[in-house]
Amino acid sequence: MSKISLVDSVIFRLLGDECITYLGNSGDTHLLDSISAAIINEVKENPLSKDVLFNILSKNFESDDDIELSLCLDSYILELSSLGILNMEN
Amino acid sequence: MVINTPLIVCLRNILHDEIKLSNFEAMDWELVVRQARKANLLSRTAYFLRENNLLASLPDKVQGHFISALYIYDANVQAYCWEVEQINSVLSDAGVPCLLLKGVAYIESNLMSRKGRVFSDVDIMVPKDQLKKAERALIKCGWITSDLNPYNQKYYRLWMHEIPPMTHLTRHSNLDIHHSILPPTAKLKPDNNKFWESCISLDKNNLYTLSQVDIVLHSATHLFHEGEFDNGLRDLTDLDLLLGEFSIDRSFWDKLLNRAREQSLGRPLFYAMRYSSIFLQTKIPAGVLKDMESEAPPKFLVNIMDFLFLRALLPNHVSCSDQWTGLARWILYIRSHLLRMPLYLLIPHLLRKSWMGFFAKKR
Amino acid sequence: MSQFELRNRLADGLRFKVGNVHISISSTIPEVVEHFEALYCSYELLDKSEFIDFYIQVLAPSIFRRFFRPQVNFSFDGFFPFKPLPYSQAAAMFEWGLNWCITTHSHQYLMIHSSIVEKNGEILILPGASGKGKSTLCAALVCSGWRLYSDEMALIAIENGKIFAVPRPISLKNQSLNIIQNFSNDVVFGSTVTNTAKGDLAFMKVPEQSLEGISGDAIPSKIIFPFYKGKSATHFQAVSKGTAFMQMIENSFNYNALGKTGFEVLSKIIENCDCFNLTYDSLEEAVSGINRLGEK
Repeated sequence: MSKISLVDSVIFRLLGDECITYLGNSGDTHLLDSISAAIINEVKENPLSKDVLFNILSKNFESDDDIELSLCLDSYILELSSLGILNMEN
Repeated sequence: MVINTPLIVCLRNILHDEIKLSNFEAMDWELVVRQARKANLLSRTAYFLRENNLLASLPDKVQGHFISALYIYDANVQAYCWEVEQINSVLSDAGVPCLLLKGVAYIESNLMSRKGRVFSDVDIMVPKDQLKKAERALIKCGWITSDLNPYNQKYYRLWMHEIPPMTHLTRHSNLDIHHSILPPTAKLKPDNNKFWESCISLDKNNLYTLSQVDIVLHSATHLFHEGEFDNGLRDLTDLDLLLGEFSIDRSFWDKLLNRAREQSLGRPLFYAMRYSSIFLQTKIPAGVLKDMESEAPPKFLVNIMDFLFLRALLPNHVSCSDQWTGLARWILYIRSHLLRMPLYLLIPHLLRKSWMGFFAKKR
Repeated sequence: MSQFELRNRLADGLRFKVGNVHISISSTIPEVVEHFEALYCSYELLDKSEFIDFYIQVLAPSIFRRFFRPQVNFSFDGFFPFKPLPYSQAAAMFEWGLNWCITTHSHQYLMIHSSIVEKNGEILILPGASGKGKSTLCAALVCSGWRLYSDEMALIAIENGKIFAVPRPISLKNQSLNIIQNFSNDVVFGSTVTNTAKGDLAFMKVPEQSLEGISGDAIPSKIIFPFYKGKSATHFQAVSKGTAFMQMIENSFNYNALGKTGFEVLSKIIENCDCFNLTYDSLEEAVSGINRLGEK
């Protein structure tokens, strides 16, 4: 089961609902929304599998449709990986 | 010519851990800051002051300038490590080995000469027969050649030892790609294959540096072929640190001299040792200096070179200049061109550049 | 100091301080002498034993260029960062050049392109590039009881997040000149410089209250991004801290150069500030609105 973790050189601050991240290797700064903020906050200490992440987030974000939330989570993970913020380890 | 300016006195102390700066007053420190800034040595001076636990005891205003330079140094290191990763990723995929030169090499190899060293370009060397492949791969990944003037393209590609400088489209970082240490048109002709045969592989895939003796020879050759010496004193401090670190192994000196003779680079090495001893009191065994005398030019020429370099290698600051400094710099500028190109190529080149410069102004 | 003495001191190198910045300026250009006489008479002088941060010269490039299509050059300790400008812009060149010196060589601070004013221990940061109205608004606030820290740059010490004041004459352009002259009767200006790249320009003298007794303990409490818009109502819109953070980066001189340190310093500032966009046409209403915000 692949696990999601925060890239080592990333630091972040939660500002209200949003999150500002700084990438230590590229020097890029990103402003991220509440869902990204929640994901980053959950994986900052330890890598988590997608299933565990899904369970945690579904309690915080209301959605009637589990499939929709799961797809949403997938797309966030992909986006944050491509930005260099998250790792997907096997 | 007075060599003992506050900056040089300070450097002699801090580079060799022999601190006798207690008689430095506020005005001396002001000159250290001003001269160091002009010589591109502010962050190196700051680094060694901090390493020797001297920074915190300086007056606040003096500290501020050094601390400013250290922040820039840290950012420089971070930015260029990232840059090297991007460049190597492209070259590695294209199957082109990437040999790092100068500042980036010192950082990636974790040498003492990385300390406080700032630089504005990444310099790399690739095999001559893979130069075009490297250039194409980099262009596909966002680098562009900065100078598209056909004459300048010919100057760089045919006569010099590099393709025109490249810049990254979005990061605006600069990359100089060389295929040899000296231009093909230069008087000195070291065998470039020998540099590749002895190069050192870094832990990271596809990244290389020159061997220890070759790093010193490259630094010496580069400095003493230069036309402009804004970084002259800085490069001399590089040499001081490189020699200090590598000569912990006593056999280094013999290896260095043998290699210099093998590659016909004895003359620039002679100057490097002479001027780093004079300016920075670099610790070179007397026997080695005596041995190097066989690489020296005739005595009268050494006297002329002293006249020129003892001025040009000082910081380009009003406090370090006398009435001959301007002339000395100009003569060395002409000398550097003569070293890179024979007269029959140089004269038309300089005429052509003046012509192009005149028309550029008119537009 | 008489004009005669001022001229002599400037010829040798006038040494003075602005906030914590120590400057030596040498110039024989009459416009520069007048500029200093009008606008810098209250600044503290330094003697020759004191450390100077920036040695500056404002001079004609050559004797030829002193008289034929006269030009002026700016030198920072022997380095010429700019192309020469028309001679009439000598005073402006000093001010722009000094801005360049500070923003290029002061990375012990996180520097934001902004105006900064202070009242009752609270600092207001007004970020914005030229043309958005920040200098005009800053001048109006300074005429309304706010202390000027700077009209051009926030210097935030990396070590402890404190804001350092560098209160210098406020540069005002074109219509802003008339607006501020109408806003307050007590305003003193230096000579107007015409035909600069930014139009007509003059510098407003800093009130003496701004130069005295800066405690250094004031902390930033509000960040207001001003947008002058003709015929608009005065409107404060709260902005999320995240959005304000990204806008501050865009207005920073050296956030990128400072790397991770810049991120950490800016985070601390933003965490403690309320952030707003301010759209306005009427300067009086904008100033009252800001005063009311401060009272809440």
